[in-house]
Amino acid sequence: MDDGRIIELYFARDVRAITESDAKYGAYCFTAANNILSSREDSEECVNDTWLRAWNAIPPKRPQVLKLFLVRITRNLSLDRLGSLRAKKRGGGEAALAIEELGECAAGTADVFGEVMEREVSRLIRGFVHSLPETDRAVFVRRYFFVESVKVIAQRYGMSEGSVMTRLSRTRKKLKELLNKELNENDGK
Amino acid sequence: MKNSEKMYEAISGIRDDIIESAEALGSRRKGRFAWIGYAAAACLVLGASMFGLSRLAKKPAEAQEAALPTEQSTAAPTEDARRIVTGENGGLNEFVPSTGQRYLLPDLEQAIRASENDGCLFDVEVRIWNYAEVEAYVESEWAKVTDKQNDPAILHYNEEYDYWLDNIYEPTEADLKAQENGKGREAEYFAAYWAENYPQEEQDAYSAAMEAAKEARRAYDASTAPEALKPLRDAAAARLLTKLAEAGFDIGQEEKDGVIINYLHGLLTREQIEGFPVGDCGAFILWYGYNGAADE
Repeated sequence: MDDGRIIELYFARDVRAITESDAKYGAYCFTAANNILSSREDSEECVNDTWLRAWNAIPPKRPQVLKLFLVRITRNLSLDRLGSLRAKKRGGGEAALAIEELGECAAGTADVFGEVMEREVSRLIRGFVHSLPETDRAVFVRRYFFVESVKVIAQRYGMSEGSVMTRLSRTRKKLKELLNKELNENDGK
Repeated sequence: MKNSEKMYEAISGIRDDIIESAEALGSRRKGRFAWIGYAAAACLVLGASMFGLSRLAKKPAEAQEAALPTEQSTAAPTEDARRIVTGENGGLNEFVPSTGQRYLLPDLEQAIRASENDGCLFDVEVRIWNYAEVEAYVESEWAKVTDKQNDPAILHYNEEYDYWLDNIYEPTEADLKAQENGKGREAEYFAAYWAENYPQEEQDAYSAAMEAAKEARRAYDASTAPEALKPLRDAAAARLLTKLAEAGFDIGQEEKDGVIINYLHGLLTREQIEGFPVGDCGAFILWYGYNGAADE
């Protein structure tokens, strides 16, 4: 079923919206969750929770791209779950590595990550990612949005793993410079 | 939460089009032997195109007759100008256009470009989303809700709740565990604290304001339910169809009227598709007919 019809089902409060979403995007969302959680059971629960969240959000929301709307929900649920797993010293895997890598970019901006600045950081990152060359941007999105391993990204784009790591490292360095410059300047340092 | 985790959350805000471009790049760069696949695909496309052209050339006379040329297409009244181009959508990842957006299925867009503007007609479905006046109505209804939600008594309650959470509340181990599972009872605890510690008039003002906010929300849900909006949407659709007919579009509304979408079907020229009027709505234009495996 195409996306327009699925959205229609959500609006009509027809439970087939959920079965159709699951049939079309269940595997896609599961992969996104599993990249983060590395646990079949936890990932399946996150995907099931995704349909409930979508059911509650549509209407009134009308997602422009249903697939990405759903996978964003899955990703956020998975990150929340990862947080509680890490608190219990469980879980980690690829997501833990990716999170640590990104942490490098925030080094030196320790005291500017209050609630007020979070939106500013999001804005800066959005602009930064948009400004990247196409391939670097795709590699960055694959690594930090979809939490794919370096090996998988290399296979996906026909590159060597070294090339992927170099691109990521270069991009993180640029992001760190940007955040340091913008956030510390804004903070009056 | 640590900075690294917050950074990670901030990545969630990356725009849809950027994520989509990363996915599209994935399908373009398949490694060193990818050209073999592309070559095979090219052969298939070429074969399919030749098959399609010969099939169209053999269309029965009545089908050709049905493809009545529009005013624009009669500007160059050749036999070729009446050629009807059809296509299949496959499994759609549909883009929902906002008011003012016109979005063409990429495959249809490519076919239009490949047509070299020879005046042929494209057999298309146009899905109309988000009529401006319906959207304006929904927004005005929502404004009534936010107005009630921003009542000073509710804002005061929320401020006090935040203060209590940061300075007074001391969660037990069991509370923390419940929070981890998404079953925290903080709001419930605060409600009890509020009832016990705040003046009666503040409590009454809050209760009245909350009841008004809930009532406003119920009214909003009722007034903006798809069936409630249908007359408004149908009127907008009728106006759009009149406007299209006046401009020479050979297009009509399909019976499969949706809950929030109007489905139109027509034989349109390249100019009509590329210039489809979206001043008062959003339009997603795709091939008419088969729309993927589960769409029967």
